[in-house]
Amino acid sequence: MEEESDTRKINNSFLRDHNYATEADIISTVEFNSSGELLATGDKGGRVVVFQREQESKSQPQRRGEYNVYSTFQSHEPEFDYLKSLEIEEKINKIKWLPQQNAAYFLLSTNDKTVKLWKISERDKRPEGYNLKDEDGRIRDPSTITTLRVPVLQPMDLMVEATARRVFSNAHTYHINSISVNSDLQTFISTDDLRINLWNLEITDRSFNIVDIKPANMEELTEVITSAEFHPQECNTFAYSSSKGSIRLCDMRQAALCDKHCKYFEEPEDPSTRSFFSEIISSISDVKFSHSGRYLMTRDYLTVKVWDLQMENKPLETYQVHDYLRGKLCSLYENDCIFDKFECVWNGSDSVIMTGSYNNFFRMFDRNTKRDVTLEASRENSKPRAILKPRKVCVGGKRRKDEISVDSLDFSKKILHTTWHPHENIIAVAATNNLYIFQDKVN
Amino acid sequence: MTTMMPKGQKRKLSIEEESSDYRAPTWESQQQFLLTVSLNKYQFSQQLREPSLRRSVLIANTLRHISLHMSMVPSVNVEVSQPPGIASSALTASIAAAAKRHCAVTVDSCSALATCPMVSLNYSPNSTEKTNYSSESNFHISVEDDEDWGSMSTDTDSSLSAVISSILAALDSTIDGNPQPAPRIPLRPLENMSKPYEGSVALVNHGLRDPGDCREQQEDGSMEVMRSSYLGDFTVEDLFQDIDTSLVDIDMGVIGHRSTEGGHTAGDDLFMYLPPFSPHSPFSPHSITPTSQNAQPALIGQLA
Repeated sequence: MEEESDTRKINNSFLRDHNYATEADIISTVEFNSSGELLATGDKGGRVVVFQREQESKSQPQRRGEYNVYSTFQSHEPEFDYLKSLEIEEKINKIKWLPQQNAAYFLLSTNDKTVKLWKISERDKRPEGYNLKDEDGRIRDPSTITTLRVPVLQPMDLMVEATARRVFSNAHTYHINSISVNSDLQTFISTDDLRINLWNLEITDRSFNIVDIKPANMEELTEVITSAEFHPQECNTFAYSSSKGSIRLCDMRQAALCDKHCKYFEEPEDPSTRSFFSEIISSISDVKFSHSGRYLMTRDYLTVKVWDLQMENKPLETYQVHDYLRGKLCSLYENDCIFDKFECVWNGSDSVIMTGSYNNFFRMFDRNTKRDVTLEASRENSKPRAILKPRKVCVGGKRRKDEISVDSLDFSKKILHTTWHPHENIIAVAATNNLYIFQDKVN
Repeated sequence: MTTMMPKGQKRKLSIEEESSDYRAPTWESQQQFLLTVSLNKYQFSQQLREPSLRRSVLIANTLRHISLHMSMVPSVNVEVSQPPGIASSALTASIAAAAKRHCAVTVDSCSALATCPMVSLNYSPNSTEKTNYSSESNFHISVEDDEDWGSMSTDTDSSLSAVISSILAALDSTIDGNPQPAPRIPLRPLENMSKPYEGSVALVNHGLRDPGDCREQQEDGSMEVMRSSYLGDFTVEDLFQDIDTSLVDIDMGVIGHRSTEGGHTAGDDLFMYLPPFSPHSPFSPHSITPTSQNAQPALIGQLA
């Protein structure tokens, strides 16, 4: 998309299209597929719901394609680790789509321990007229068969079925926090707190460990891996972020074990803002390559940073998401909000970045105009087809009308998961157990 | 709705006015508050069915920072009416309580070890002061808008850092059933039962990991010592000359339950709370003597 039209989008021209409420289950991940036709959500109950965009109808050109439920399936079930007497949560931590190569759709979904490859396919024909069995399936008496007949495919109601094609299990001692499909479309990585494993999509009983930061003595453990992603074009390059605020770029061609990084991105700490919470708020919760592959975006507790892969010593851009929380860190530490892991996303042209905040707010930053906007995903404030109104948080002094003060923010309503359509200005925002899909205003 | 301010918090003087004066009770109490909150957090996370490693590591790092900062300011210890050990003992009391809960969660690979040895609060020589202090720890603290905790130092408070180490070691036992010797449960020869799990992971990982293999062997090394201790090895007897070493041959379940019996000697308790005999232990064997009163609080801290 052109940059001009992207700039226009920032000026609160998003309108709310539809509100899909999932059944009292908290959404734990959202992801568009590579064409934007499908949108997958995973929830705490281990279910995956896939939405499909309707084809635009000529009779109603104003009505852009809406997203309707396409398939629902139970991806992961709760399990029990008998060795440690611990339950393994069925919550879906991440979903990643594979690019479409045939009529079927493939996605990877993961909980804390197991990654699964799901095939979602349509069936709209059914063979009828079997020779040896009748329509109920009962075997016909061979003596009654006098002629040969060949089954014929007859049309039937569309059925979408999801089948688990691969199960990649028993490779992670710690909780898987991310998965990423390689641009070679043959391999993917799964990342837990201390290790990154490389898999081949065809092979489930073996994986290669490519990063291991577990110390020999666990008492010396001070840093964990928080996220990892493959480079979008370079199939040998991947990046992973840590709880200490650093990002490492690794090249798999260098060595089988990528403990030695090629590039190390870290911003020196600002001594003026140092506190006991400095390390916690510097912990990176998400890392995303830009579509171009030239930039890296990281999200820590208070900021989003864009890094140039050629410059390691400091980020190219830093955006304050909710700096008014800086003075509240002690309280946020006490109520555990400081450990929330927010995600961040690029738009299709890498000109706008988006991330979530509290009170069901989410923020967008235009990298070119340096303008930003705060929007809210809530039923009360949006009607269908209404334009979202920008919100503002009052940081001190007089509170203007329509502004909300910091102390009135609802910290139980947090937007951790968002996704942006790869080509168009359509975003999906998960607010606890509600999914909001916003589209660009049609002119 | 999650509240911003902790309940019952009274607003006091601005922290900025007092940040330069480390001897001010408000500043020190805020630090203690943070310490208590962090400990409570850690304890609570251990009760969850699946503690998050990231969260635990971040809390442990924060605790480390706090302990470093507390040790950096010597005037704090001087001004406080109670001896410096109080901070440690309050910490150990919390750790002890955490250990109690933690044991319930940790998988016990040895079936005979039905319960973990508990650190009895009454056992500590500082028990009375400890009780008094813990009631003080819930005092009201102001949470200011602009909190400035000041810079950190690199000095080390050995007892607190030992406690932090014990947290991480305990964390390891919970999170990962790997064969690290658990400080809380002495003489656990069957920790290697978790090794088959690791072993299968190694198989899955296709054996490309030579460093990993070495690591396993290193853990084996410490495991060997533990195992031999269980069998009444010379090493253990060396350390505890004055203790009836026939205890070594007694079924672990009996030893585990001894804490419930009354009237045991200090020496027996000391034997129960044997720290892990590994090269990584912060305590050298010579410090583990029943006659050394100074070492005791630190010892308990390590074992919790």
